[in-house]
Amino acid sequence: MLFNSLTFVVFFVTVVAADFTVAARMLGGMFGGHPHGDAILTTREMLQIALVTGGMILVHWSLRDTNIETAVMRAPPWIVTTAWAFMACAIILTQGNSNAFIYFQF
Amino acid sequence: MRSSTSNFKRKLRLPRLFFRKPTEIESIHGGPPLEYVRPIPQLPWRGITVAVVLIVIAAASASELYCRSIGYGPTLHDNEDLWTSARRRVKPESIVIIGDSRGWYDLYLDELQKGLGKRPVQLAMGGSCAYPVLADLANDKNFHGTVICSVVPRLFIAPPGSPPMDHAEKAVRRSHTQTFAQRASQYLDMPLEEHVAFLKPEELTLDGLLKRLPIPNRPYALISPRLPPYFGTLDRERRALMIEKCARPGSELARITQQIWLPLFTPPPPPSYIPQEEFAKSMGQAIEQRFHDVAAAVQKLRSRGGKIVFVRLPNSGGLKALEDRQTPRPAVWDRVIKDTAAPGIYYEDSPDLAGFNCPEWSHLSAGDSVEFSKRLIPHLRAALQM
Repeated sequence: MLFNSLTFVVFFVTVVAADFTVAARMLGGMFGGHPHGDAILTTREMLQIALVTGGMILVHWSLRDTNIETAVMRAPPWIVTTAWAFMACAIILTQGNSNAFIYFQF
Repeated sequence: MRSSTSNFKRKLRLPRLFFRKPTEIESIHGGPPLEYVRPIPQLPWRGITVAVVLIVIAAASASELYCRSIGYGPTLHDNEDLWTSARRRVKPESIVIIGDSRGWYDLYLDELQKGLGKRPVQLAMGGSCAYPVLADLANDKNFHGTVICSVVPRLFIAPPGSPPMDHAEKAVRRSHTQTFAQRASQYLDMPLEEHVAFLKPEELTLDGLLKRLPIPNRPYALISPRLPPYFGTLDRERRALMIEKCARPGSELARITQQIWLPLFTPPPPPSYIPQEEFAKSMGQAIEQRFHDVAAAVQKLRSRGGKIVFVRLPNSGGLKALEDRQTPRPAVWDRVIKDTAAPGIYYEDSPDLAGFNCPEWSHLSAGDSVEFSKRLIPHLRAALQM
């Protein structure tokens, strides 16, 4: 558990921020460290983050006593088809910018 | 069948199981933890797969038809890898165009090749500062060719850390560090971009489409101004041409784009966490440093026999008025020419170059770029003593 937590913290710090100073500033901001900071987010971005985060919590909550495999098995085929097609279309719409091989670059 | 996910989970247990051979009990099918098998839900997967493929093909085709019907066309997208492919074509004696999007749209390579005897390599980039590329060429010991540098004052003096500098620096960095995967990715991407109109990474992505939702922002929010919509095409040589829809007189696309340039060319308010005097002082120092660095780069280039000419390309309407007011000619252009002692061509100085109108105030139409380049040749030849 401790190892997992440490991995998460190090991953977060090194992936999200360029260095530890920036990471510390970002973490400070998340805990109210910059009370008079400039408002740099659009309302749309805030709504998007709230909706996606809320949706993820909702899905995890609804699956708390089961798992994704069971949920998929119980769903009617048309729902699985719709969800799959929606995800594939969303991937196409997201349009990578010539980073198709990003997973081979680590 | 063991899935890749279960393999991954197994690898995560390395600290405990590293190099340990599984016991007999652990090797029994279904026995925890090594024999975990992800159950595949019992569903008609073949039928579902066929349906999904058909839906995706239909949706992509509908999107393509719709995008073409409202004026979008297939084009390459400029990025660090496409720029790197052009940078790789620079030979020791090449003619190279650097700078901003005006050098990109207004200089027609075929005409320049006819007039200068060599086909220039197009290294100008939209919305970017010329300095990082100039410095890269100056530091390239093999290069002793000719540089045609477009100057848009606001971009030319953009301070370090600003988007115009970042943009150019990223491209230069990529040209030095490009991996095989990034290069291969670019080659695979180009045929797709050349044939599919709805691939517009900054405009028709999910995020780009969501940006169009009319959701008002907080009145005090500091939001970056909108970027211009699709108004030009780009090919593998990085030649940019304005599309007809924008170049047409009275075009709505041109009118929309004109109004987008104004906030983009207006500097953002100074940050609230630094005293204004201190901020103004640091900006002044950064600009002075830029003049100094440009002069040093030009000197370095010349010491190897290289040549450079600075060009101020046409602008029009409200954008010209804004640029003339915010970055007057003596403040940037005259200073660059004086500090570098390099030749300069300012379009307003020559009647044959001054009569062009930019449909969206910042760039020439494809047709006018041909004529402008033809008329620019004698000026370039004189400036470069060719």
